[in-house]
Amino acid sequence: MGLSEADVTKQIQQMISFIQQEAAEKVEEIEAKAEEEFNIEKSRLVSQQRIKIIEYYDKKEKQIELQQKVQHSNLANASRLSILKARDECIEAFKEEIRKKLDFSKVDRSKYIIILSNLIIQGLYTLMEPIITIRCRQDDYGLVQRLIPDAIRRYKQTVKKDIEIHLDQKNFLSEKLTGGIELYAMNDKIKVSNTIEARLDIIFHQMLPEIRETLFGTNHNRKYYD
Amino acid sequence: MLQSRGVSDLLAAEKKAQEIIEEARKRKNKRIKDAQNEAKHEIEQFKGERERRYKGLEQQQMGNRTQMTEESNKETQTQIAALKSQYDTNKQDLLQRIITLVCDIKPETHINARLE
Repeated sequence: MGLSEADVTKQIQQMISFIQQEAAEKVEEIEAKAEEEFNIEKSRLVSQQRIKIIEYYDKKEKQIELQQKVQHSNLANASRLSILKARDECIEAFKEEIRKKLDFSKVDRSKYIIILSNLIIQGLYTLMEPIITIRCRQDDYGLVQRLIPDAIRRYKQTVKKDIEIHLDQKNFLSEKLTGGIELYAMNDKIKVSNTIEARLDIIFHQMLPEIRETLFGTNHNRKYYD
Repeated sequence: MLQSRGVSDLLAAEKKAQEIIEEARKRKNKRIKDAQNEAKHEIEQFKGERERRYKGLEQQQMGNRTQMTEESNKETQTQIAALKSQYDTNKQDLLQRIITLVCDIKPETHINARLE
């Protein structure tokens, strides 16, 4: 007739086993796929974010480096400026020291008289004008007055022209000056400033390169000397 | 009788199979969702590390900054002091020379002046 009961049972068992086996295989497949997709998704997300984070922090770290360089440069600049300023102050102090030593009008009278008379005659030679007004310090008024006749004599001898000199009685040079005179011609339109200060200014200014080199030594960074 | 039992057994087995497959699928979806959380966790950790590294550098730089300023100032002061001592050493002769130059006046007429 057909299959025995045992056969049927056996066949049904086989079919059930088959179903179970297939299901198990399918589950394995699903789980393997799950793991694979898990890893792919996870590493995709991680690397995506990592790139952004790395970029961000690299930029910030570069900023720090930059700031350090900027600071270094600023410090070097500030230092250079301080040193230059100190040099400048030294030179100013030097000039002032000289100026104080030039204040000998009361200490070394005879030397001052010679200088004053030379300044007067030099002023006259510079102006070459027939009418001159001389302005001096109030303290020097008497002295200058005594020196004028001799100056006129020397001038006439050299230039062979007459000259008229007036000594300003109303306006005087500042007491702070160390000495010398100012000469005016043509109604005060032309002025010659022949004070000791004026001489110091000109001489000091012209000698600045030599002054710098003597006081501070040769500059090894300098390339051109002409 | 046997048949119906066999069929119902088969059906039961089939149903069970579907269930476990369905469960596996659910687990798979959950696993994929987990990926997001785990990724987030890893990223947080990485970010923390970089942040720590960055902060470290920042601290270092702060420290350097004060040190650099101090060193620079000290160096500058040293150079200025050296400058001043050079000045003191070298000035005397030059001072005398300039004073002599200022006081040494040679009045002369202008080179182009026509004197009868």
